Amino acid sequence: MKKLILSIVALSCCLFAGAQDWKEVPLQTIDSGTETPSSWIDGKTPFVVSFWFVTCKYCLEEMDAISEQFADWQKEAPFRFIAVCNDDTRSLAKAKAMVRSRGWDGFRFSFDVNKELTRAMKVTSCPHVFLFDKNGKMVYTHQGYSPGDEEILFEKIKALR
Amino acid sequence: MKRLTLISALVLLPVLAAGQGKDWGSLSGGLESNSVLYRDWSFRSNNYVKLDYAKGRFSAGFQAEYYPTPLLGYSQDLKGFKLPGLYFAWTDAQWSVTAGSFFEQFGTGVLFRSWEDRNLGWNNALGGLRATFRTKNDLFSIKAFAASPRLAASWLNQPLLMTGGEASLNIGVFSLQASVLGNQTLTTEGRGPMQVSWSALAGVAVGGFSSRFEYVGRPGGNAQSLELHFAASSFSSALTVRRLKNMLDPLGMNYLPALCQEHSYMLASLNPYTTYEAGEFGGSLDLFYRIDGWKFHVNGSYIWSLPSALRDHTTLRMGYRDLNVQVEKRWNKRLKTIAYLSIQENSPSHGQRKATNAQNVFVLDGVYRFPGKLSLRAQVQYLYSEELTKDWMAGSLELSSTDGWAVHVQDMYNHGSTKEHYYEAGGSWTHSGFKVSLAYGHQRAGMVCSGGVCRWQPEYTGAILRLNYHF
Repeated sequence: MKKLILSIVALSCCLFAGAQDWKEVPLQTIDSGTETPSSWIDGKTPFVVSFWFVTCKYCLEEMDAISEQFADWQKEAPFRFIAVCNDDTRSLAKAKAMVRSRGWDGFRFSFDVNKELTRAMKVTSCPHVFLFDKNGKMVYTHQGYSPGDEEILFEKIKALR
Repeated sequence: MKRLTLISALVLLPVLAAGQGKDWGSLSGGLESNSVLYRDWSFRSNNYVKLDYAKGRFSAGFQAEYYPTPLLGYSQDLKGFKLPGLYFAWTDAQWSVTAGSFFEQFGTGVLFRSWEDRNLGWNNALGGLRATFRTKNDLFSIKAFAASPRLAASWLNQPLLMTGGEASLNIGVFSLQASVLGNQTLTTEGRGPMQVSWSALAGVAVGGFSSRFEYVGRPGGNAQSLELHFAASSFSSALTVRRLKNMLDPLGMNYLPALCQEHSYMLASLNPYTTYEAGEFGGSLDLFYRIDGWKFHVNGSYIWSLPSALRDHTTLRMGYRDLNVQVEKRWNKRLKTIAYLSIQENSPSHGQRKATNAQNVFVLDGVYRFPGKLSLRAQVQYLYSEELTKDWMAGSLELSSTDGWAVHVQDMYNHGSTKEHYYEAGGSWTHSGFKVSLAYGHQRAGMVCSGGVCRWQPEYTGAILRLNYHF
């Protein structure tokens, strides 16, 4: 059995170039509606998808750093920032309160309450950012955060123009 | 050896595959490997490989797990090779049908939740059939399944029927949800008769205000929860109140997290509270405020055990209470600091006996960015207590670079009673979808929590290797 799995993995990796799979995973919006990741693709601007949770200190650091320069960066190279909270439902009210008070203006918020998108995108630790071009093709990904990582991310966004 | 081949196959082959032109669909995969070499030279390891294939509306995939010997603190029944997550799915903008393994949650999860948390070694996936439908305007959605819970089936060595359905309606600012669950019960002889549980949830969201209320009923037990959340531009607050009675599901198919705040600082999470499923009532309040580079967060929780869950059935008895204050300040482009205070008191017997443990935790935390690529994070912590192991102190340093590497050292010292050091030193490197970290340390025995659910971690000393890769 192990050998079979191994051969499937090996063979399939030969056949397919790596790509993220844009499933129609339902996510909760900040006003308790639903949306799917496919609605993020608008054919006009690239977008960043960033996974975070309430007690993830480095996630908050990274989102604060991006938020501080978000308005200036928009003038240089417009992009959208989608913060996907993968906390469980018990932290939902807290997460919603938090995003409003931290001053993350211009971000879009989505809530992956049973970690379906988290699993589909193979996110195992946070923060974890993905950069997609305007057509939804993944062009860059990064795990963890060290101050200054946001500038590298913005260089990648500028390269997409 | 096999694991090594598997890892190299996953790492090398996508590179060789570059330049494929034809639309063969898309493949994405992830690998996670956590291994510890203990001081007695025993080796234990938890490994997960997940592969998903999608072409148009069709998708299929699996999760393979391999535990030569599971890590200490995880169920030792996991030992060996497993292929738990095989599924086939058909999905379009409105419909989806899944056959095989899937996860699902109804409402807040108190009635029913099937999920995976690798930190806890928890995976109560369902195996069976599920169908979902939603209208194009998201006004109405419905889902239904018939399946067998994976965990219960492995205890029983035979499937156990579980069926459920949930309907949701979103009209303007109002949302309504109704869920029903039917499952075969477990008896000493094996499968028992069917039982039915249900829940209803109503929510409203207007401007900066939102609220939802949920009622859950199951044979012999019930739960009510209310969430309120309000936000203005620089101030926001959230309140959660919950009462539950006899909500422990013998199949482990529901989610009963502790209501109180989960702490990210090590001394503040030494003695976490866990939900008293027999009966508790409590609430947690959060206040957030931001002004001129300062950010304030105050959180407080109070949880009582219900009289019906106490041996003397008299009155509500305190199970846990805490008050946490966090002040965050960005001084300039280089320096940010956090001061944190946590005052906690818990009753290890959930109020059955008078004795409680109290502890006060103080934390100073800072991050400094040097010109160029490097940043330094530093923390000092102190725990003051007159009970259990008395006073603790702790500190940590981490140097990280935007090149992707980081090194850290930390120590936690119980100078109040056992005089024992719990230390760790290590480094990590991350690039694109790849992350590797190696550390050596002495870990304290205690509860490890994730999402308000905890598992017991025995004490150990050893070298820890973690690998993560996805494409």
